[in-house]
Amino acid sequence: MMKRMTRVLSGLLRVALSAAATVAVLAAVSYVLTPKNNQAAFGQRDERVHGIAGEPAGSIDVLLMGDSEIFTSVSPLQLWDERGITSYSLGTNGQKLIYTRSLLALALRKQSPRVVVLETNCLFRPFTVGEAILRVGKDVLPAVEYHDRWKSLTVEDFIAPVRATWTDEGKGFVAKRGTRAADASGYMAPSDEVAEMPLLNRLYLEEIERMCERAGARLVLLSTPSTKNWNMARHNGVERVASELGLDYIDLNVGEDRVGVDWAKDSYDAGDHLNASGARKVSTAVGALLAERYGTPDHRGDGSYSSWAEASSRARDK
Amino acid sequence: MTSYFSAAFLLAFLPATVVCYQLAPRRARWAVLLAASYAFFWVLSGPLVVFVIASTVSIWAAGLALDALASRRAADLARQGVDRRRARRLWGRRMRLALVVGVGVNLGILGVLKYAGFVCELLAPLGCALPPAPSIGLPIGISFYTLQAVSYVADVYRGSSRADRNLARLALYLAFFPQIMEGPICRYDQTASALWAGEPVTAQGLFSGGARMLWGVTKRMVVANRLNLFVQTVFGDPGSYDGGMVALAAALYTLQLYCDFSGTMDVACGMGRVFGVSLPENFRQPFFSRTASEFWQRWHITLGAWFRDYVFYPVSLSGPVKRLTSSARRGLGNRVGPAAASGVALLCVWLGNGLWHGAGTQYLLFGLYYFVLIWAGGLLAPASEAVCARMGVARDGALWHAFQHVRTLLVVVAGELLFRSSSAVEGLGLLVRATLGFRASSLVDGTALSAGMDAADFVVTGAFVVALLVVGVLRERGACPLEAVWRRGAVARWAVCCALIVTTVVFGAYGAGYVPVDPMYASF
Repeated sequence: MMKRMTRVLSGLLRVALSAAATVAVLAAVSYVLTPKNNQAAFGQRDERVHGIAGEPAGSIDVLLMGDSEIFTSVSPLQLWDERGITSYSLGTNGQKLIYTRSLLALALRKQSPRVVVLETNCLFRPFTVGEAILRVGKDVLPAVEYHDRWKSLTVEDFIAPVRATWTDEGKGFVAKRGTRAADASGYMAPSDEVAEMPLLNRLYLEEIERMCERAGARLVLLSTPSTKNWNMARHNGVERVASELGLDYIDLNVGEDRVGVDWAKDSYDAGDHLNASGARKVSTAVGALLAERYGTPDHRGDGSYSSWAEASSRARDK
Repeated sequence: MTSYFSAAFLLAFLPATVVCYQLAPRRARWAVLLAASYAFFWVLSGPLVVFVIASTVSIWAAGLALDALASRRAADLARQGVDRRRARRLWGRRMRLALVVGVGVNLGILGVLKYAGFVCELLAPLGCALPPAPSIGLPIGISFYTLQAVSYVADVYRGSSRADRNLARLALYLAFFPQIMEGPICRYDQTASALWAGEPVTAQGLFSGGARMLWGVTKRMVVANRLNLFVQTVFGDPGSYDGGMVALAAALYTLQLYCDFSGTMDVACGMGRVFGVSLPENFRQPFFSRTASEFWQRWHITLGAWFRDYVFYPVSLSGPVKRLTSSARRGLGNRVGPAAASGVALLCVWLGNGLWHGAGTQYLLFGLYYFVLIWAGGLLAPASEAVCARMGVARDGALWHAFQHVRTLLVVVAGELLFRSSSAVEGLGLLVRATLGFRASSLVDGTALSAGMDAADFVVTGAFVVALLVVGVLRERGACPLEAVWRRGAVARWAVCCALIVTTVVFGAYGAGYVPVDPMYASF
């Protein structure tokens, strides 16, 4: 019996050592393949959101997370102009919560935000266990994410340290120019239906909430105006989850927080996303909510934040 | 979880199954495999799992009925004073009826689910109005497990297998998850008892199975997925490309299909090895073949063997074909006569083979293409030998062998071009363009690099082809690379596995910019 136990333990030890050695090799390969700066020219994916790594440590008070709804609806520079709030938008197209979690982890390495705003459209975007496993693989071993860089490796990739010297001038915001009116006839029609969030999404939301708690940040769920993506069933679904998890939920589509969007003028693509005019209205409302409900500090006039004033000024000049 | 290559399968489902299997008591391990197999089936096909259950129950019942009839026939024949000839005929008729019902149920399900729409489409221009085909989809691997079901019933009928009273064992034989998607097409005697035995997972089994799986994953991820960029681009809009590009696409598709299918077989056989089950091999260096006929003895071996045993021999040995062979022998001589008569059985085999691959005119054409090649090859063999003798060509010489290799490669690539087309008409058109309209200019003027794959992609593909060639030569010489590595000790084993993992991670064609190839044979 003892002999068998020893053999099993020795076998397990060998497997563990082999796995550790393989991970070590992959880690070395990952180092080579990781872009050596956080810019697309160096091979960085999703350059705009990875600009967060180039922000000075501890300088961001609000993180704006989610899919394209968030990066087209809330402008960090406008929050600065109107409220002196420092924020960064980590929204990407079609973002799933698996990536939201990864980006949040990236941001929390250097930042200690007071508030993390999570736009709710991505709460309903399903993903598979396989996608979740692959995402973890990409986070742990960047070789999985950047494997294709073998085609463009230079000597620098083998010896240079990984640095983040760049940040996005718009702090992750993308202004949509143009107007396509939305049909708002059935928009937010009263309903008792409750849209169910997929189970995996719920688990990831809880994990994101725990990450925020550990970092001392308040997680706030926010629904930005959209006739195409939002309805009462989803509102009810998020409201229920928020109440179960003890989270704040702000819906700008309905109720006292509703933003007066003119769907004939403020929509970029027939109710899916807001254009710059719609984003201005939403940014003003979000700035007020952050300042009044969560006491985000006003850094205007603080010399250590002069780069924000400069970035804002450059954006206005464009 | 969509295939054996999804992260959820490789990193969660399979390891969890192996752990549960190993922790379960030996007598209950079959239950772990059966539960995992049905769970896998359910994830991929949902409620269509009822069809595999129906097939299982049907062959179980057919097997028992055949067994009971055989016993009663034996008892009847043992009685004194019975008219033995009449009894044989009577019981033979009853057993044939049980065989037809058992086989018919399974082929019927396959026919309705897979071919009803195709038949309606073919008959519509003739004015035959058939009831609309059901559109409930195809259960995963139906073409594979149906052939296994048919072989079981036929083997019990012939007496080469005993009927199994254990429904669970039959269910596992039919639905074992490593083979359910793309085969190999196993015979009951090859796997059923090993599946039931619950052999423990051993270190050697884990290494050889795991390394074989990694090799399969590497083939699929590095080559098949990468070639998808080019193949999809050209076959997605073949009208925009000249003969050179179409020919190159056909060659790359042939390589892609090989790496996809043989890679999947490596994964399937590797998984089997981990569970102590030896699944039959489906590939034996097919591109080393010297004739089309030999190619099909090396490519998808279990399908070829199935058609040989359950179509070719029964048709060849049937009364009408035997009579035809005799008269052909009298009229055309002892060599050409039987070859000519074998055309009937060959035609059945190749029509069946073509249609098995899918309900489409291109598959019919594909089958007929190989029928003509192989049948004509047999018929013309004497003439070919005479011509070679007259021209002084040494048929055992290296030059002749090289010619045969190249000729067979071209024949195979042309066949895959027909196979990959969306219809027989398109296939013939592309074949004409790739041959009569072949221009080498597009292969050297940069056009080839504008169809999804860049120079680096071609270099990686070329390097992997060299690796495949080396492994192929070693295997052809009877070597077993994995066994050699196992004997060299722990460091060598780790180095091989690590090299395969790193190669797949770095050079695999996955993630942004790549569209993974669908498991090609799973949809057949």
